[in-house]
Amino acid sequence: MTFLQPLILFALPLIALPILIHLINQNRHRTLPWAATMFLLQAKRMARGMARLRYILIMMTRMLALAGLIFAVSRPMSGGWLGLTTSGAPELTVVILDRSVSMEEQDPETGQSKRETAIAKLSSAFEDLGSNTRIALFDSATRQRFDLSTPEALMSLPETAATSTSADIPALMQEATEYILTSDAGRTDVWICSDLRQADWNPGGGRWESVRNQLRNRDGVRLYLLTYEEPASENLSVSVSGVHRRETAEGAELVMDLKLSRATATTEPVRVPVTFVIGGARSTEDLELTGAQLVRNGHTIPIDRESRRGWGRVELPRDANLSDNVFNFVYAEPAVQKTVIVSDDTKVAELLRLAAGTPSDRGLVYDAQIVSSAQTGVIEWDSTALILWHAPLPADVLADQLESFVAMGGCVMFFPPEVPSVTQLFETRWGQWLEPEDGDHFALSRWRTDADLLSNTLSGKPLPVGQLVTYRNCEVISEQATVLAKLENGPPLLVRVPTDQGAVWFCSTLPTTENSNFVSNGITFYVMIQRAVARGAAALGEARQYDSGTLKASVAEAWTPLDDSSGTVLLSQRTINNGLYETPEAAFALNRPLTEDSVEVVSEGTLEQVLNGLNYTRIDDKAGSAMALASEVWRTFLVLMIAALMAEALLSVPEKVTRTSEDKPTKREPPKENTPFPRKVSAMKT
Amino acid sequence: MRNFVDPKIVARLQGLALDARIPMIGSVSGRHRSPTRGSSLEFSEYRKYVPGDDTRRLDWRAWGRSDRFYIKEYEADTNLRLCLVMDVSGSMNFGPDGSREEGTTKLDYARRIAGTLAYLASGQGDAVGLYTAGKNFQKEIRPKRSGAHLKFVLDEIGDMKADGETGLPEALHQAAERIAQRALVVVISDLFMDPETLKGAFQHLRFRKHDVAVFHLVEQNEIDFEFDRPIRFVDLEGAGPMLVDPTTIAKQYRQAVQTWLEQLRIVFRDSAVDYHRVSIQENYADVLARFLLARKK
Repeated sequence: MTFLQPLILFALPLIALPILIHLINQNRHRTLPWAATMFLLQAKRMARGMARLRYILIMMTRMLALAGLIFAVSRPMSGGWLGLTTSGAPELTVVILDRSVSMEEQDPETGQSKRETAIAKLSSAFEDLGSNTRIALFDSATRQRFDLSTPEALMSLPETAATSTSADIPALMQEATEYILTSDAGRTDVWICSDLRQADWNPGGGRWESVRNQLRNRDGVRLYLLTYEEPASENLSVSVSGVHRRETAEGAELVMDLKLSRATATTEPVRVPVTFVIGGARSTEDLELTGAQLVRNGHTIPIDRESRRGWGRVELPRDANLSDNVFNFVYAEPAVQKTVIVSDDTKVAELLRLAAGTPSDRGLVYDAQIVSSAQTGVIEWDSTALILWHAPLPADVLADQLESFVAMGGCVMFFPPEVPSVTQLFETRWGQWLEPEDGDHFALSRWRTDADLLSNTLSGKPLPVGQLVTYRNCEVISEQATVLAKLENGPPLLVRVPTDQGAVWFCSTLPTTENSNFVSNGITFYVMIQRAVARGAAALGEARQYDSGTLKASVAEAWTPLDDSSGTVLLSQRTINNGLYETPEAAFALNRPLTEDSVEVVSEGTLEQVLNGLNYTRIDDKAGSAMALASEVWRTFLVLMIAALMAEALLSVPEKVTRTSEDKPTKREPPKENTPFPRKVSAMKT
Repeated sequence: MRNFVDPKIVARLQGLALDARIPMIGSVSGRHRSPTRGSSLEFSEYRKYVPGDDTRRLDWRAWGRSDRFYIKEYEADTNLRLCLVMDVSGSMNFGPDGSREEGTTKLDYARRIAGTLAYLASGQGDAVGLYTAGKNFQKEIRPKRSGAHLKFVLDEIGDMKADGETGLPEALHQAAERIAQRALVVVISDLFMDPETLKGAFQHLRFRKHDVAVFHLVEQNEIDFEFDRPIRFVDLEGAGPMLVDPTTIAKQYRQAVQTWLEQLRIVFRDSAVDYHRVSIQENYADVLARFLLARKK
């Protein structure tokens, strides 16, 4: 038996309350001089038998009632007959399955991952539902719905297998909510199987509010959170970035930034044998990890001078999560990091050109070109990595061109024009320019440090984003955008609009000194632009890196696997798993999103806010746990408590005192000295 | 008159004489029957003349009719000795709801009954004596008829203190031995002791041909035992305190009390004792009126 509110079990010592009250009562006694002590002694001797037993029974029933209450409030869950007594079969069961990389953490004893444990338990729990219950699976990797014919299908479907993706739980919840509302089903159980990673749940996102509002008004929907929040203690993860080829005097070498992370924050040094596989050739190097992270920038591996395009991966030894032990990469002649700045304001354009064109990696070629809004026809879309757009949002053909550019993997960052128009692009438009009410400035209140342009550096240190202030900001009006940086008492500073490929950002201010201190605190601004350039450039050239789950499955149909492990992946599953592929034009490396390496989970308080107003039950589980998924049985304990109270009442009923006529109590009144004579006596006297 | 004797109640009770249920042997003429023949107006019997009889008591008319000498005998009226035996053990300090306030205890109630009876007896020319029964036979005032003696008895009643364990059975045995002639022995006590022990004492008194009456003083809560919270009972006769949760033993307590009362009833019935159970919440004037009326021939 498990408890949904196990902390309440700390109240179990309260069971001793009746005894305590009994003892306190005994100590709060009053003292009474007493004459008939002989009867007290006799009564005490007589009470040693049944009366004492009765008293003990009363005490026990009181304790039992308290225990029943505490157990009921702690919301026990039980399988078997006890669980079945309190729950019926729902009409519709929705399963939201988190197939992110972090769900692949395994129990070292059973080798069962969190995802496998959750699936096995759900499958087992649903066996008793009967044929009247429909089961719909919402998969986090593909964000598609699958209707299951039997609960056993959960175990065998490829849509429940391991992936290298991250999960967008709010998006899945939104889709599930819409499905529930349109399905017109009666009682609906929604099972969310997740490890509650902050990056997957995005509790600050605006979509939760919509989910809450919609589900609140829907009767008969109950949420069950099957959570696996405990991170694997001995898990290491590896990733590389910035892989590029460099000519040296001896020949050529691969340069990369290597990052090792471990889940537990400890300073105990550990030697990690890291295996580098370059085109199939393996070499191992021992690295010492002393803290939570090891970042080795500019790590080099010699390669043949003739090898201008190739693939490789970094591997770690087997640990609690196999999915984050491998990181693939491909290399080729690097593409030019080309940025096009569309602006009619020469001051703004120059600042943007400086940020985009100043090399951050000397091994790469940077190019930044300024064009006016009237000259956009000269933009070479195929060779451009990033477009910095400081002009009114375009419409018609130019808008289509921008959308195509993004669909091909390009990146665009929009800056607000002086006169915003109502034109909408990427379902986003500019609003009004805003200035702080106190006439001073807007300060940053919060920003995303785990992903995207303002995330922490590879060494884990945060960017000095907090030092940024703005003096004017333009509203960004979008329903879908994700806020990356929020100003206090002002609009968002930076938002990202969701797209299938590429990336689109809206920055609500300008780098000029009239609008912000981007220039005086240039680090953040420079890193932000450079990261955007790097991301756009990743889609150019012959070596392309992608996060699993960001490409459509159809894209990978023409790909050829570069190594054996990639060859075993199903065609439909290629874009959601690790892999190395190539086409005649380019090589592709697919890896897990690095947000999956973050072990930060949604706290209980945050979860309560996220699901505020919804009828939900949280079931904490562990990978490999053999505990049967069960139903709440608090009603049973409530009934037990009521039964105990009734028994206590029956036992406490005072016994009827039978008095003989002689013993009838006389009216209690103080003796009266001048009481009139009794009528009978008076009559005699007369 | 002491504060425990109410003149109004005495005045009203004077209409009801204190009668003995059996013939008394008094020292002077009184209003009570005597086992001996005397000179009262009430004819008793004839008996044959024997030499030495007072010839003035010859019934000449009987001689004229039967030619035999008969002596005409009359009932003798004598006075009564009222012996008040008062229990002065510590338990007599118990008042309503455990109160020990002056004027409300069993001892105060006993004073009122004893004082009033003494006054009534003295008023009708009877002798009044007082015996107090504590752990030992503490005080003995032999019955006398004078007004000064009544004052002395009332002073003693007023001054007595209740303390210590009871010694009523021993006191009754001693009283039975010391009271030389037939008397009305009125015992006033709460009788908290083994009825078997009392049985011997009362049978001893009856054996000595005393008319015995008992005022059994009880406080109603001693019978009902209606408490709902734990109480530390302190024994008034000196035994150690006892912490009791009344709810756990109330039934057994009442059962023990009922058994005890029933045993007392049997003891007093078998010993032909005039038994009166009196609640100290009751008006003592009513109690005395009932007592006096019941003794009317």
